[in-house]
Amino acid sequence: MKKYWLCIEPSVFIWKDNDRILLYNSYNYEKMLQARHSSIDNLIDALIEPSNFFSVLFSDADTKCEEFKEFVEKIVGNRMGHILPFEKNDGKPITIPPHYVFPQEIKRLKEKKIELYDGNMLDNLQSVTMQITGECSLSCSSCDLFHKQINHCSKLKDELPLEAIKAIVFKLSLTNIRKINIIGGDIFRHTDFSKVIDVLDDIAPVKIFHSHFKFVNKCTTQLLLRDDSNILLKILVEPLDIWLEDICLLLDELHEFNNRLIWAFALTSEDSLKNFEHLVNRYKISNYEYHVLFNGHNMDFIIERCFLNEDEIWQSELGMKDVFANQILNKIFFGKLMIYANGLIYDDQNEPPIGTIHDNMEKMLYGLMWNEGAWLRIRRNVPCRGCVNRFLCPPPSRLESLLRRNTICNIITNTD
Amino acid sequence: MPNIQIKKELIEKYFKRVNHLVIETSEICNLSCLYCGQGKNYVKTDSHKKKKHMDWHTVKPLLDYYISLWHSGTIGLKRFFMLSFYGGEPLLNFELIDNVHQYIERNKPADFLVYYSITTNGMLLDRYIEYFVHHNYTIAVSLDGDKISNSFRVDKSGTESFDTLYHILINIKERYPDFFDRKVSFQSVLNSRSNLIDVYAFFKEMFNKEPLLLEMSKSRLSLKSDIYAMYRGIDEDLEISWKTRKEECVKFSLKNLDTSYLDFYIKTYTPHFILRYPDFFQEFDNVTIKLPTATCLPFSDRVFLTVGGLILPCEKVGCVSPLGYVINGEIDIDFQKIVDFYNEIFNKYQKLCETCIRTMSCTNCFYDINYLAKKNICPDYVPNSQKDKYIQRALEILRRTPEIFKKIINSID
Repeated sequence: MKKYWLCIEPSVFIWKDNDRILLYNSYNYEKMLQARHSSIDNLIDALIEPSNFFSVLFSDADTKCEEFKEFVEKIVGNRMGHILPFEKNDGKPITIPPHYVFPQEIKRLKEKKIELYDGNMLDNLQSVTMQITGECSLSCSSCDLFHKQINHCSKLKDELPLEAIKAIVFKLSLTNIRKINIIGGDIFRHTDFSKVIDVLDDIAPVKIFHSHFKFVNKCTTQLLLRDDSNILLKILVEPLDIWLEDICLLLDELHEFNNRLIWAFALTSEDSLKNFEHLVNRYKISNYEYHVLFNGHNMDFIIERCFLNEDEIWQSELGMKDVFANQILNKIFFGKLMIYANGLIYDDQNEPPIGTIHDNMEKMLYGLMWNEGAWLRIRRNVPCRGCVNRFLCPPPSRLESLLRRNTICNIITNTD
Repeated sequence: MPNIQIKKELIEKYFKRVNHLVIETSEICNLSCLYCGQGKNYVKTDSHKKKKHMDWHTVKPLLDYYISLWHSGTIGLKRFFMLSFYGGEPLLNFELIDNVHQYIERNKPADFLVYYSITTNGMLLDRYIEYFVHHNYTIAVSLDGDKISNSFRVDKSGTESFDTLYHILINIKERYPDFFDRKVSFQSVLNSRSNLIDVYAFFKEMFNKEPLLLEMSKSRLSLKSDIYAMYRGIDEDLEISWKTRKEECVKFSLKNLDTSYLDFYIKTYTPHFILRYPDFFQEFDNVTIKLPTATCLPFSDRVFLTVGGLILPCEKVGCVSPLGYVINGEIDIDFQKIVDFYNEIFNKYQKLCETCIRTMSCTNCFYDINYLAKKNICPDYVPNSQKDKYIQRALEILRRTPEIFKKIINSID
């Protein structure tokens, strides 16, 4: 009886749930879904076993089973593996399967009861968002929800005193952060706003001021941007019909600053989506971003625009390291902190604060990592746990956090 | 690949954030170990030394500098600080140890933790042990093993130190058994009169401990150096031990060379190894960039202050290129000069390291390589042309012992 090796390519991930098997090739992003069948279960288990090095022996007899034969042919046809004839004197084919090796992963250290993280916690910090004031004259109905989904202004009675801002900026200057977002309320209402700009002027990270479009004009833009290319202005716009004319006027007025502006559109309805598309096309805006946001009463729009179907998940093109990232950390939250005008610090604005501006930052980050907070939040809960797609899915988002949902996908998964 | 340009701000940041200060308490010693780094086998490098002991005026400015930072609440600071006393033999200048200790305890913020440690040959330990027990010091004792293994460690008259030290250690173990268990460790230099198994067996049997094994330094060797006659390499000895005394290797859980090799292979040839969390973010390129050699960036791990007031990146690099000074009560560090020096050397080695297949698993510090080969030739350089040989060896190990891979990913995955 002839024997063969079935060898899987080293870039292929194999995941299974109760009903299905997914092979994902992180080299060319090809996916192959297979219904589970008793005749291939042993083969899959053998392939998943790390010490088999992605090579499993099968014989002519195995291929008499149609399901087995089809599955092997499908693997080869999809270029996720190949077949080699078994030769007694040849060694076993060896392929290193895609398992990450990360000795300093907090989860591993905890399992081993090692309390020492051999790295500097502060090296993990990427960007900080600082709400310098919560004061604002507008009465937007949704800012309280928007700021829990993106860096967005929100109302609060407090203001971060200049001295506190100085202290924060001095501390941040000793870290590796690349970006500081400055948000309000209305940032221009800060008692010492021009001094705040001076303080920020001295440090290297990119500074992005965020302002509702209602507070922006040519004069304020000039004041903010100065000649420092390290400063950008992000203009927050909800393109509602009632504001469309004002937005158009502003786009005309700020034309000369275009390369230093980021237009951030908050989309809450199909109408706002249409207006957004119209504005971008008409004014040929290139520096823009858009966010589909929950405003408390647009759940249908959110489901339509944010929730994912399996084919949408499968459009993701993740390299091996991206898949490892989804197995280890949350790329949306990781490295980001939010400091509010009342001095509280959050890793996720939808959860309790992790500290205050008076706390030792190193200690705070240590606690955040050790307790596996938002930075390390991955798809480990029901219903994602056990789903074949969970590491191809985007990481758990702020929207999920706000809605207290563990998923925003439409797949009905059969998981444990 | 662009030139390496480490920025001075980064080094300045490291100097402020560092949480380990090593103080050369005394440059003299009550022993004359034959392989000692300050003995005749090595070129002397600290031309600034005019003193034998560290004095208070040299150490105080650095203590004041860090104490003021601890009080400032600076964000980059860790929650604790390690203060180590190093020699020569630090116990020959116990007064300074006590002064530093008292000063730190009086002036540090109440909630800030400072841990103290000392590396000693142990010959005076019985005199000061009560103090160290009382203040919960960590003590690393230099002892190479049993009487024969330790026989290069002699006093000024050439008498072996083993009997005296052994008696002192047994006495401490009896008087302070809990402290001895928790806080006393051993450092052993492997030498031509010792071997791994015997050294492990000695420490296990006598003290129920595992020593930290070290090799004699091969940098700064003088022309008439006898070091090679006394030298024994850890990896070479490990290989011999696994071949000839396998059961004992298993008994003492000695490192398996196959596992080490696979570790190297995975780091070098596969995308599976992740060093730290920021590796997932391209925007962290200044952190994750692989610098040539395995040299630590200055002050990223510790600051070493010599008796002569030189500020060095660690106690192992010699004093040829001090990074700063404490002079007349002032700290004098030119961070730009430091980065210029490091950038120049890194750029010299960049080409060599780029074509070396061991670059990801390199353990060579450029201070060592420089002394060994002034033409920027690395003793461990393996060109890309030998890649296949290395891959074949890894595959052979995996075929022979497939469970090793599982062990690697299970122990860390």
